[in-house]
Amino acid sequence: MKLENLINGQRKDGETFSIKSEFYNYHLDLARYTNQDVEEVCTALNTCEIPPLRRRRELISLLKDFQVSGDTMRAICLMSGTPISLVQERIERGKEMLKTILSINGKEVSQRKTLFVAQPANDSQEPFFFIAHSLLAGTPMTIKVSRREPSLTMELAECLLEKGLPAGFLNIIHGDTTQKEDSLAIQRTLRLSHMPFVMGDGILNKKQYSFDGDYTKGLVLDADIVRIHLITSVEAPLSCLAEHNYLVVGEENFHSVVRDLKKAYSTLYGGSLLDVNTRRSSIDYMVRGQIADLLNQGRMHDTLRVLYPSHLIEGRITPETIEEGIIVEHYTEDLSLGVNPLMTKKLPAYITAVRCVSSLEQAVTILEESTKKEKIMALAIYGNPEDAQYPQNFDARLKNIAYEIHRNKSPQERRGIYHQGINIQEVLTQ
Amino acid sequence: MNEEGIDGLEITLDYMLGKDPYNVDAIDFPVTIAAFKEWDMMEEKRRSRILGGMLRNTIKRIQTTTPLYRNNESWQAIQAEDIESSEDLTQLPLISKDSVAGTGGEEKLGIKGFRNELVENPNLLVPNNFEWLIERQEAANQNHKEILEAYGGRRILEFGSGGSQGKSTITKLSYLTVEMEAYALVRALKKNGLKRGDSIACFYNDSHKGGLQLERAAAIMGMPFHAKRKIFAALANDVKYQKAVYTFQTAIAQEEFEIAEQYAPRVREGIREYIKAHQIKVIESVQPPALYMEKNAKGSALAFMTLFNEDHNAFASVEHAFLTGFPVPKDAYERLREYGMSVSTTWGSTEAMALATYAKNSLEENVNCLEENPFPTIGLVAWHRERERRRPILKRAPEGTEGLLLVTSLIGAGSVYINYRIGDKAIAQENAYYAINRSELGDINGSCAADALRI
Repeated sequence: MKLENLINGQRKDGETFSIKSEFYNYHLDLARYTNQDVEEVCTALNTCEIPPLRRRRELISLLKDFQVSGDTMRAICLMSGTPISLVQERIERGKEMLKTILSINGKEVSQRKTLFVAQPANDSQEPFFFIAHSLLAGTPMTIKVSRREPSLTMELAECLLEKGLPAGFLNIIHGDTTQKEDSLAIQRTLRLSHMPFVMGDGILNKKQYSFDGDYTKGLVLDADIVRIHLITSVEAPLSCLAEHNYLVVGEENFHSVVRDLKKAYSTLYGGSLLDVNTRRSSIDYMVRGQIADLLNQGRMHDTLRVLYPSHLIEGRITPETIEEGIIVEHYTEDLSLGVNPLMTKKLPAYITAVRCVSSLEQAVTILEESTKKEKIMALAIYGNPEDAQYPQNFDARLKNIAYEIHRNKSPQERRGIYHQGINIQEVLTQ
Repeated sequence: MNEEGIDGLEITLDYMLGKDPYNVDAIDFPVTIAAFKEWDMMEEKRRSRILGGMLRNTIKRIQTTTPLYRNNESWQAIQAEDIESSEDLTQLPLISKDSVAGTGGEEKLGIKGFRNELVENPNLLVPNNFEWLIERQEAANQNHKEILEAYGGRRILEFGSGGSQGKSTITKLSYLTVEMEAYALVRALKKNGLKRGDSIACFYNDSHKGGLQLERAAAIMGMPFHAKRKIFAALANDVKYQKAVYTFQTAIAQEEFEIAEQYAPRVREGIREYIKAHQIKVIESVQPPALYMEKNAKGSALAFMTLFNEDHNAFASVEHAFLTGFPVPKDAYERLREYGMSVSTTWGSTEAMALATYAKNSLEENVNCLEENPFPTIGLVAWHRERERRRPILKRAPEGTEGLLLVTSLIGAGSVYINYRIGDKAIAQENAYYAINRSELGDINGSCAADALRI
């Protein structure tokens, strides 16, 4: 599949580069991004028609009927390693978010502002989120798509153009970021925007909004309440909003959570990504290698133990042996020596780390220690602590730990208004 | 000792060890004892008991003379007399410069690092009877004055290490300790296939212990030695390369890596010309892995494969590449072997030399599968175990699994490292260490948006 830059409503012909799938014999040909393209994007953003609010809301609404084509679905699955069942679910969730975004009133645009978004590959609901917010706010936008998975955003953009979105309002750019010229051109484009948003910890510009919170964690006070949410977390290994790390208060809760996690992993079906029964994504070998290193280190130092699968309790932890999932219990006993690395490292694979703590206070203390350098994206609290259990200044302490607090629901059930505690629409229309 | 290339009496190791080989102290032997082939050939249990005796005597000494061990409850609780063999390393605590997060607890110390203590007290690991130990060593080495000359008259040598993890610390060793380790390196180099008369070009700095010991080992083996210093001096005297060498070295010293990079190709050209002109047989150099090269300009300009790939014809005389400092990348050793070169590596460190080496007759193709080179350095691949135990212990890592690489120097005349957690890990194998590598924990990729901008 070949994907050109979509600038000012047109696919631009030009030099391409090839990106191979990490998982299958499949590749995409993507457009390079040049200084000439930068000029055209700039012109498009500054001169495109900005439809009135009513029309913008109509366009958002039309996206609810969007159907992804077979070719694009294939590209999404084979390039990102996500099975078709999960891609479909996330696209549907993206469409659900549109309803929430439409519940915001919106305003007519009094002053043109432009938006730049560097968008990741890992979640098919992301393009809906950004495109809908951009339309509602009336901010012409450039999306630098991930070269891992650019096809869904392209198709959404072209769908909107067909439905009457003015040319130049939504521009999609690729670019070979291993090449200096393309990188510099992308940076120039970011600098030209009033509001740059970057997903991740790349810093291109001091004024950018970065969505770079550390991975979400769960705090469990009631194993019965968290049960249904565990599978949601397990099935989203690359999402920063999936809890891959649970602090569980009380031994009984702990054993119950571990039992449920084991069940979730053991029933996670792996197979062809295009098989509708497949629920397990493919994860980069390199990432699994890095996780295996982390786990081996922990095991050598006795700062973790493997709970599942049983053959890894003393068996070799390698990128291959952790492919189908692993659950580890980690320890942080003496905080003066530092908090367990499993609390501070991202865990973007099929791994869930769990820790049994004796009290809510102990859990909050460990979270505070592990978030000294960086707050986590979200903290999900499952269960309802009795007043007597509440540590001192609990709510204030939680605010220092996480950008978002979710109670008795998965952070992935986000409604589309906030991300990392930021009200996107407020930022876009300030 | 019937050692090819080692002049002297024909003495066997057995004779050297004397009537009670299981109760000897390494400092009471001539430095040449480390070169005896018998260390590698003797029956394992016997060797283990000999080494165990040395370990026992070293521990007895350090418990009363060396601050780190004297002031530590766990070390004081050790009954040295219970140590019978090198297997008993698992009964000893480990020591570590850096603390390990996640360990310890209410009643357990965990793995607490001594780096800050060592920076404040550089003699933390040094016995308070250091001078007396040196005298004992000198008593065992009749030619100690000659050896001292080889070290520029310095009885005590100091080497910096471990700056990448925090403040750099000093290791102090007597010149005879460094020399004994150099003889152990001789033994390793012979296993690699190097021999008398082979000229060797070494790209390690001689201020680095490895560079210094390699030079000593080459001298002992009768291998004409071309130090990096000498090579660069020759290039600096050659009008063709003068400017490039001067600018390159100045730029590196001032950390102006972009400038260094501009002149590096010319410097490399000069090095290749030197190798050709002097018909060098063995090159000792460094080949970092690709990821390291991308992130570290400082160490990459003279990486061996860069030198080689730019013009491999310059290496027609080279029979052997001895690549150290990093695990040898697979593509590097495969390429060099295709060209007809032997490749090997030896593991050593500022704290202990030479733990293990890749032998010429190894059945393993992977150059990073090292066989042990016991004495004066011994090692252990272990797991630290403290959960549900009254006191922490070390458990030998199951064969084929990764564990902490702990190194022990049996000499004890200088900074004493026993079960020292050096920061490397290895795969445990019988009498061997596979895949020794740093156990740093870097960032983990594949995060939510790792590739939005980067890939």
